[in-house]
Amino acid sequence: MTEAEIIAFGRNYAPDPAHFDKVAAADGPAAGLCANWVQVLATAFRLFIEAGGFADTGEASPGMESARTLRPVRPGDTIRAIAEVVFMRPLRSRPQSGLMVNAFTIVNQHGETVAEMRLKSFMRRDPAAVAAETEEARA
Amino acid sequence: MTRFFEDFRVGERFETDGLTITDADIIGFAMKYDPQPFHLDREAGKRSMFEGLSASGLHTLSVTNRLMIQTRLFRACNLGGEAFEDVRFVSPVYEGDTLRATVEVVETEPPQTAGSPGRLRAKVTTVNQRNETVLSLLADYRLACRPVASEGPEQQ
Repeated sequence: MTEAEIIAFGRNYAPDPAHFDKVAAADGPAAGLCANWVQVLATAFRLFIEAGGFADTGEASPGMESARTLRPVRPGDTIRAIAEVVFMRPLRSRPQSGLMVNAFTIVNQHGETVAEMRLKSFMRRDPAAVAAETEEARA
Repeated sequence: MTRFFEDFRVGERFETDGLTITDADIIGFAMKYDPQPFHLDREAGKRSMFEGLSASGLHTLSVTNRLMIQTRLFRACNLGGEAFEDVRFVSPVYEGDTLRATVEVVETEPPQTAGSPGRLRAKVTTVNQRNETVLSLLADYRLACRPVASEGPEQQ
C-alpha cells in the first residue's frame, strides 16, 4: 500500500485526517498515517479477483457476515489475503447459482493479521451439474 | 458539537449529507477494487443480473463510510472503526443515484476501566433518492470518553 493510494482513498471515501494528513495523523490514535480499513477490505477483494477467485462466474455479493480490523496498515506495508471457502449451497430461488461464503484473513509482510472479513457471494454453478440434478429430479 | 462517548444515547439518529454517484465513480472504483466486468463495462452490466452498470457493494460501503465520516459525529473521539456485522447489499446502486445514510445508536457499552474506550454500536442504513434501502449494516466503534480534567472540548 503506497502513501498515494492511502491518501487518495482517504480523500474520496474516508475524509478523516488519519488517512490524508500526515501532520495531524502523527498525533492521532494510530500515531501516523494509516489506510482506512474499508480500503484494506476492498484491496483484499481486488487481490482475490485478480487471483481468479471467481474466474468469470461471480454474479453479485449479497453482503458480509462480518468484518473486523485488528492492526493499522501503513504506507509501505504489503498485504495479501487468504480466502477460505467456509460455506456453499445452491440457491433455491435460482438453482443455476450458488451462495458461497469466503473467510478472508488479510495479513501484512510480517505475517500479522490486519483484518478479517466473511464475504457472501453468488456464483454461477457448473451447467452440467445443474442439468444432471434436473435429470435426477425428473427420473 | 464536540461529542465524546458519554454524549451518545441509544436511540439517537443522525442523517448524513447526500452524494450522487457518477459512472466515472463506479468504473474508477471498480478498476481499483472490484475489477469484475459488470462493474467496468456498461454492456457487460446490461447482460448481468443487475441489468445495467452498477456500483460494487464495496463502493457503496465506501461511500457510506465517507458520508458517516463527513458528519464529524465521531471526529473528536473515534479511536478507529472496529467491526462490521450483518452487512447487506440490499439493492443495486446505479449511475446517477444519490445516496445518503441514517445512523442510529443501538447499543453503548461504558469502559470497563477508567481511561479505556467506550463501545458504540450503530445501525447504518443507506438509501437512494427513492428512499429505497441499498445497504444496511451494524458498525462497532471504540470511542474515547470525555477527558476528566476538561470541561471544554478545546482543551487537550
